[in-house]
Amino acid sequence: MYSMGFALKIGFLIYLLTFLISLMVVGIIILIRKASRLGTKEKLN
Amino acid sequence: MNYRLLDFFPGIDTFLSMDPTHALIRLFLILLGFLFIYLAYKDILDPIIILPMGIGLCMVNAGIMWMPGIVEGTTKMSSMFLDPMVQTAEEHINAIQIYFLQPVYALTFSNGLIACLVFLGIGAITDLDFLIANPALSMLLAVAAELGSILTFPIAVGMGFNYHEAAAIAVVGGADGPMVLFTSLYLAKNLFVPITIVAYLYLSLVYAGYPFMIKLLIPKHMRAVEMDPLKITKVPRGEKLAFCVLAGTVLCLLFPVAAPLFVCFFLGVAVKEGNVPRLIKVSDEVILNGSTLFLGFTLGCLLSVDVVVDPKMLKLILLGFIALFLSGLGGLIGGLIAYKISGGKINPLIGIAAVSCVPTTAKVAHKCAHEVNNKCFLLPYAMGPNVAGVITTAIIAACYCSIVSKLP
Repeated sequence: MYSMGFALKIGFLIYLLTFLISLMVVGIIILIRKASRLGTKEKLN
Repeated sequence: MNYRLLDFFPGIDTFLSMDPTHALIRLFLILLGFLFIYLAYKDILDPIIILPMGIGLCMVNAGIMWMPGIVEGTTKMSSMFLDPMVQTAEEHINAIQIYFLQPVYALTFSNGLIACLVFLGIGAITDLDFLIANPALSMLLAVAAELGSILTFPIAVGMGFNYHEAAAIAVVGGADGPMVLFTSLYLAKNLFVPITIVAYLYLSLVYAGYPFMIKLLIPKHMRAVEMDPLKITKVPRGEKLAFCVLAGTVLCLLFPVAAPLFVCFFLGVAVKEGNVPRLIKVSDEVILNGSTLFLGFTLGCLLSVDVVVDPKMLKLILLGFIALFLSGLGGLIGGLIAYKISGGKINPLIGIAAVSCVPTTAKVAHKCAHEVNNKCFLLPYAMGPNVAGVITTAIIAACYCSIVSKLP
């Protein structure tokens, strides 16, 4: 009833999702850093 | 009225009335409790969790007596600690009046609150500097170190577990105790005690086991690569606060099922980065330490003969080992790839720190590098993948809770 092949597929799907969401988290950090630097530059100007 | 001598000592009476196999297992559990206390005292296993667990384990299995059963007129062997099997509201009310740990169990275990409280405390002691300074490296290493959380799932299904149970045991690969507790409570409540105990036992052994794996797989010259901690960019507090607010909100939006975990972790981080010393103190010293104490003690009290004689226990012990071994292997492979791509500038040991057992695996990476090169100070670098590992494990746990809970 419980198939190992199906579980492997689900596992792969979850790994892929985790990878994509991790990239999204990286994107959020890069955006925050850029916005922060932009704010600092404006302050200096 | 006739009294037997054993009526004065119900603990011994139940010992002698038990089936001999169960009595031997009960004795084994008491001795195992002693062993845990000794190993925690000697600092071989993590004393913060293993010491209260050992105390609970030996004393709950010693203090078993005849108690009135749920059905009137019947008796059962039980301790005065807690009864995890109560179902109805009436049974709950009765149990709370009898068992001294029942209020703690009903209030914090049955809904996963204890995992969230531990997570809140972890958030309050987490340093986000390296993660925000080098997000891509940290997150990718953390994804690599989730290999065990993924591959253990089909292996567990192959060993006869259903999808829900297999997903709950697979999360052990994330090496994050509260996450394992939360997922097993959500997906496989029938196995949450053995799964969580196996997870915490192995997490305590990580400090002793991973160095062997590192020495076996990573050559000495690679372990000795120096990384200058002064080169880590100082991240402004505002950026860290903005990250935890944004990332927390987005992750809760994507996975409402794991929102309690995300919100507690990022609340802890926000308290730290928002610079509220009184809240930092209460999150770290009171909430984290208090909930860890009750977590260890209650888990020890839950480990009774019935749990150990469950035929699934041996398989769970094996799967826990496979999960953490594969995650460590994935982390080291990620570290080796980073070493090659950077032209030998990144110490591959920071890969093992991506197995998110905060801060144990980061300390393991630092210790193993420091042994071969005493100028090597890896801890600040290792904390980045370590914290990223907490986030990726939460994502994987959330995926399992959302996707696998819909399967039969």
